[in-house]
Amino acid sequence: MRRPKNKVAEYFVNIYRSLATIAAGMGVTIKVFFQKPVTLQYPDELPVIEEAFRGLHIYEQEKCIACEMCVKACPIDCISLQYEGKGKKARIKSYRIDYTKCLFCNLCVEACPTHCIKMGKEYNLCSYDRAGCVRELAEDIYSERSTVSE
Amino acid sequence: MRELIEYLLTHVPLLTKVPSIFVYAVFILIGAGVVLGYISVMVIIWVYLERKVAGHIQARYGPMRVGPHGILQTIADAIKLFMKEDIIIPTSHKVLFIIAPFLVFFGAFAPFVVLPYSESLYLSKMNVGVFYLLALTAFEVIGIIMAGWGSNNKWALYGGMRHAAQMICYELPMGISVLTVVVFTGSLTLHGITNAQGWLPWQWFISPLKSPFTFIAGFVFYIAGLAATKRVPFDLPEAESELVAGYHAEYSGMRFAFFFLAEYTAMYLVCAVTSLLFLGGWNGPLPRAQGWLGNLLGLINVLSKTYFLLFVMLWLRWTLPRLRIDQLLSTSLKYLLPISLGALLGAAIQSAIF
Repeated sequence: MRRPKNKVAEYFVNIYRSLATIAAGMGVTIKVFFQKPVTLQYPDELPVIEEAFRGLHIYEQEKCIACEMCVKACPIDCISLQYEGKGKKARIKSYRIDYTKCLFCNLCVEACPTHCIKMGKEYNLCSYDRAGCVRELAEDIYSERSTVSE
Repeated sequence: MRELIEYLLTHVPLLTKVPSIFVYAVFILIGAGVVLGYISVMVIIWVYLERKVAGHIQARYGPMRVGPHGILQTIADAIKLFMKEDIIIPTSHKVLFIIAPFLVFFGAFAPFVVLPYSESLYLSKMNVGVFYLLALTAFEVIGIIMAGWGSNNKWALYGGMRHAAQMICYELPMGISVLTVVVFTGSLTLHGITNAQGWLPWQWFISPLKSPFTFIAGFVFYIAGLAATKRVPFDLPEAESELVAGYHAEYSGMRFAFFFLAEYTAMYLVCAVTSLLFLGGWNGPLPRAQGWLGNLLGLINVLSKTYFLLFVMLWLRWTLPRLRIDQLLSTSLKYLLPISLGALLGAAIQSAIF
């Protein structure tokens, strides 16, 4: 808005503008006042997780062929994979993801040829110490069996 | 109140045996207790409502945890305040520091004497009611300057000085806009002013049909009252982002609670006076009646208008940003004061001609 040249006119235009802008502002706030609040009462009501949400990984051990593609794809090397043997005979000992480092960038999921790793919907990632942030996703079934056989 | 005491003194035989001065003292204490109790309950409700309104205006809930929908939140906060350690700064001016909060509260509390709630529900029918009201609300400034000086803290002193400047600027348009109404009523009692207005909204002083000048004066009075109670957008004496908490930065516990109580009491006072002077008081939208029904309807009328105006105060608070000190002073001296003087002149001409 332009300033009026006349001083007297400016005075009255100022009054009009201040009243008009206050009324406009109050109109905005009263509209929000009657809206439903957007806050979530967290522990009582849980958020709706979207389809493409990237939470804790879901790892399907029986599909995994230990090709190390996800380990190579990871930009910050937070995945550590330990196994014995190669190809279909591979025995996976551990599959760990360090969630203090993980970016949730989805690159491991894209790299996996057998779709054994996916992004899940779990978002409660907190733990009491740093060691708790390193999650073991694989079960060490082979070593247990080997100890039985021995 | 006085009529009631006189009635009791003449009709109850037991009271005639004790000296009348004791009877008066006891009834004054009872009246003060009732007002104090009402203020405390009202403040507790309004602090809760303020936080709720603040929440909903910002699309959130506000307090939700303590009790259902957080209704016990203010009580929990009050208990916390009373349990806190009462710190008196060693470097402070002890006397001023200790007296200040009570003086501020006195300034907000004493005007309740003249506030009527209906034709026969009042404490005192003082013949200089409005004048007394404006005079006693000025006590607050002294208390706040004392708090600012006594704290021995430059931010507190800034807060106190700012409040003094603000009060001086805003009491002028406030007093003049009250005069605009008094020109029409010819009475300084709140009873006389309220009874000069009818029960329909266009018979109130806020209506441009009654007089366009009191319509303007009504807005000026409300804005000046907002500034006198240090509310946003005129909360320069507190100004959290600049002065921490202004004049009450060094106060804790009970004494801080008194400042808090005084602020909300002053808010209520301004809204109640606006509703009596400009919005028709107990004559209100509900019609007048005789006896206890009239008292009840009058009370509902006065309280509903007062609480609506309090809501508008909260609404304004969460809409407008804080003014700068020069904007604050120019709003008063360059705009509100000339406008209120013009309205007074117009009102004088209108009352002389019509």
